Amino acid sequence: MNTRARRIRGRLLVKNFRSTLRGYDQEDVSQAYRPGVKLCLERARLYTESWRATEGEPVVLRRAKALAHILQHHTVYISDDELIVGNYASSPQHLTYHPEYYWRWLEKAVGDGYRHLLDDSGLAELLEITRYWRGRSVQGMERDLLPPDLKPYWAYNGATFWGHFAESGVPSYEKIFRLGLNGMIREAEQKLAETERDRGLPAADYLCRRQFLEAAIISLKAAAAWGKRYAGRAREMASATDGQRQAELLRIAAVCDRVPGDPPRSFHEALQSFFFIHLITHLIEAYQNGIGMRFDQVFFPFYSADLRSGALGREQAQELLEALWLKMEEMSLLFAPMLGGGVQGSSLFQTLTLGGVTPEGRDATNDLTFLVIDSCDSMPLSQPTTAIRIHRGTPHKLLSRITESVRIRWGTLSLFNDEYVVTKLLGLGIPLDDARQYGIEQCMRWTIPGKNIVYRAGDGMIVLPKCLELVLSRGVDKFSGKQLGLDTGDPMSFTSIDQVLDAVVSQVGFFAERMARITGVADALYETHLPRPFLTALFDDGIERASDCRKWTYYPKRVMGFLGPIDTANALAAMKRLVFDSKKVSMNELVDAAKNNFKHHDSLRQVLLHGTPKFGNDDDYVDLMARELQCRATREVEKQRSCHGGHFLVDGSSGSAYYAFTQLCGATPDGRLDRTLVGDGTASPVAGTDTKGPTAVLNSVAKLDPLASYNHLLNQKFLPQLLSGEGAEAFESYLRTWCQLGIHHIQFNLIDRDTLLQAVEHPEEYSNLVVRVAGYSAYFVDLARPLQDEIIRRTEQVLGR
Amino acid sequence: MDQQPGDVRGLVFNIQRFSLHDGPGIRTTVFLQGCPLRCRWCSNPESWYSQPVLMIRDSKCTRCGRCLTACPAGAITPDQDTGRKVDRSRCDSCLRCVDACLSGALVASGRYVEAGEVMHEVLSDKPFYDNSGGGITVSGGEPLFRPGFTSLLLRHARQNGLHTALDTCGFADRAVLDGVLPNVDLALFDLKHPDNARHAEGTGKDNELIVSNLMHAAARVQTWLRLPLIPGYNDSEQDLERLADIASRSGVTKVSVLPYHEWGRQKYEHLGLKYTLAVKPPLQEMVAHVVTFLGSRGLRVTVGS
Repeated sequence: MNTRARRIRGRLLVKNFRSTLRGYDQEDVSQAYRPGVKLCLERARLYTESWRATEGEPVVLRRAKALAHILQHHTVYISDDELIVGNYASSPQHLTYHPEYYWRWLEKAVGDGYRHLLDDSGLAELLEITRYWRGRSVQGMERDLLPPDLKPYWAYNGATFWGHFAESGVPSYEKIFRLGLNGMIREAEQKLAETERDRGLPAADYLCRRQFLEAAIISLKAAAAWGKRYAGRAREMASATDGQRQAELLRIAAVCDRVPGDPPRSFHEALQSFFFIHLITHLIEAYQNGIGMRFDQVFFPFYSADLRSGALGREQAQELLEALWLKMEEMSLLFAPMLGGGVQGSSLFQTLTLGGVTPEGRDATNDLTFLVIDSCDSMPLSQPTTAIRIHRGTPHKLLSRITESVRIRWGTLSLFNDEYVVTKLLGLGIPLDDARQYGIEQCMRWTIPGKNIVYRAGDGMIVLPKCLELVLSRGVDKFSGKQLGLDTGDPMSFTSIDQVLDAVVSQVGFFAERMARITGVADALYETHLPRPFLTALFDDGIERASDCRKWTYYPKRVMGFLGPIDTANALAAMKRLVFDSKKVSMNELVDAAKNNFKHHDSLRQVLLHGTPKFGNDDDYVDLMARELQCRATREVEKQRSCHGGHFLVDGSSGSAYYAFTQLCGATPDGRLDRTLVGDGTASPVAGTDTKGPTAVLNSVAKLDPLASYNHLLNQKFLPQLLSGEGAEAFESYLRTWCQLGIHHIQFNLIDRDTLLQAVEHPEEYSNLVVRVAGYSAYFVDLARPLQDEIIRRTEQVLGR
Repeated sequence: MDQQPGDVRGLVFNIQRFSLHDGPGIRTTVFLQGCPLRCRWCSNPESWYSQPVLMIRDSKCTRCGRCLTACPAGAITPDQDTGRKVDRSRCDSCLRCVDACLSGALVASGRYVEAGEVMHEVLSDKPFYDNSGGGITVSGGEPLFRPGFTSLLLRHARQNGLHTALDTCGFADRAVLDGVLPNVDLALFDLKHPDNARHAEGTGKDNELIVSNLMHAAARVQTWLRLPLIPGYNDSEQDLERLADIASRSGVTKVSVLPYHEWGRQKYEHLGLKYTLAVKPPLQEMVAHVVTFLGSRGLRVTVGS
């Protein structure tokens, strides 16, 4: 990190969300954001002003005019030391918000854990704004419109969570950089002229296209003009200062005069153009998420040209990148308490996709790939995160750099497997050269940059252990006493594990159908009330299609998520072993024990916990159970159709939802107790149950057959010292094997000092924590205290950089 | 006819996957129970037993009482402090208490496993070996203690394209060694002390056979000499000089210095044994000195593996 970045970082206020709820229960944390964080009402005020002024006009034009109004009047500021400029709220301490999306939860929250975000007059203004948006904000509108049979499934109920997750959609930055927004305005004007000449066009289509194109032109012009406002501000500031900062401000002014209206000519201009578009699409026009573009591919031509011409050195390029990352860190979202519980500790999910193959299938790694990793390593920030694409031909140099990065920057780097993703996308009917261009947005969702793939990050999470619980209770929820799921028959009549599995799959189908229908209603409302003319215009063929992106699609992506699939597989394997194979336990006893949260059944619980096979140990008995469960549950989701006629997919990213939405999940036959967490991810072994080491884990995960199921999330835990010295080479070959095994994703948690200290304090909770050192492996809690201290000290040495 | 791996059973006390310190690359180390030596610093004393043996971990006892009724010899009685006490003099190692124990407080070390089952697990990680230049390491205890089983594992590993390593203390008949070596790519050969009397003092056995086997093995397969570095026992310059001499004459390609550690101490308690060694692990400076000293005698030296 250079000194400039250090100064900026020193002033940054962390605005990441802190969860206040688990399910409906209050958490310890009473405030959703750190002290000092405020909510800016400027955007909401401007949007509302415009919306009031345009009543009666076509919605698509109103959206464009609201955007233009915001961009013309929103505060622009440039902070000390900044090189990349642009802001989404009126100060770096502020969050912003989108009244056209929601009002109800916010009105409630500002009386509670969000109160500190506003002073008294701010609160009064906010309440005035929300009063206007009652019945106008889209989120929540669907609640009153759902048919009666769906209403019980609209809110979190223990088995499902449906919510208005953030939306995705990745502009074509290649096109933006090639034409500039001005070039795209000309394209839209030509298209409009062509539409007016087209005598064969039905009147309704004509109106629709005309209104869309007008809206696109208004939006693009407003965005292009936004840059000029920053240029003006920079010049103003330059005249009031001197020396180096004056020169920098004049440089900023020159850059902002040029972009995003005209095509960038330098690395600096390209980064600035990107950040303006990123801001507008992500925060001002829409409640947006992710990045999804291939960062090292899109920016490399600018970077290498500058390097060749001598306009820029590698160090200066890194300084610009760091300046951009700091601006990304400065952005953050206002999260709803319930939804936010699923993404604890996060802000935006700004993900940089790096590496992978070119559209021609060759290795795409370039020097910018390394520069981005270097700059992210130098600065521990929560934003952006890096998603690195690995393929069979990923060079040794990159794998070795990744190993180093995993060691020093654990937690923010994740790896994606081209061998899996490209194949999976081909299976979905996406052409090869597009599939090879995939990008990662948010935690781990795939997209094709520049294409119209617009979807919410999740349309329903289904809690699989709850589905099993409901099988054992004939669909009756033990906490509410209500018929929540299907009556899948008397569990005492089951004579094989297949019947249990069939019943679980039926429950999944029952819930998936409900989630899909709720989604359909929401989709229709979004299409009517929230057209996205600006984003549509930024897609490769958005202007050519001359129709809002919600009315057509490149690929009709809709996703649901599963929580606790691995816990469920473990529970099914335990039932198979004890009830059906060895017959040591009767179904009656097991059902009774789980129903009573294992009260008076402790020794049975011990057998379930310690005496049955667990996923993650390369044991077919349970691994193939996990495969069958996941594949069959996936089929149930895929049976559901979405608004564009496509089928739903399962997506493996679940954030911290495994914590937030398992609060109403009862005890299960894997020994899990009422209301306790399920495992993280959809492929990670349940914590502490994988005792055969990292190779066995990968073998188990490969057996989930990700092509036949979905894109799984895998967290792997390592001791930091395994990644240094000779361990680094072994780790690299471990990554190559991960790639060959066709596993979608992997990320790493290194066991840190704090965990080991916790394990000393609470050995009962860490009974399976294995430490591997010097060819000798041991359960940490079995070691005598002085030896534990010694290992803790070693860990500290490795981490103490 | 060839013996098939399914036919023969061996006493295995651990199969450790993702081993990084028992030869090159990512390996699976198969630990066989049974050993002719009794090294006082041994970190795996359970490997001394030639049958499955009971290990008692008091911290894991949940006081469920199931072991009390399971023991046919009446060797287990209730105890205020630890939940239950095992009288090892009355225990006949039937290990029924281990089956009864759900919490892992009573466990058996050593299980008779068919070679086919071991190979099945070892081969599961083949892609990892292929990418890392790793393979199988057969260790102990002493893998030459049951040479038939060891030989079978190594042969089948090699037939399946795996790199094979033998981790041995070298105390075995020449014929036994010769029977195994043809299927070994790399021998990890321990030498605890260059002096015969001192060797016997630390391990219970002379070193003449071991040194002669070392010369024999190193002349036939790639061999790494492993030196467990025990402060006050084998770390004097005189000892190191003699060790360097043996290493140079034998033609080993590397010397691995394995600094003494105390991580096995707890296991002695679990087995009802006394830990008689009273030294501290060597300081880093000491290890560095040993590495430099041996290096100055023209040997390639590494630490830890």
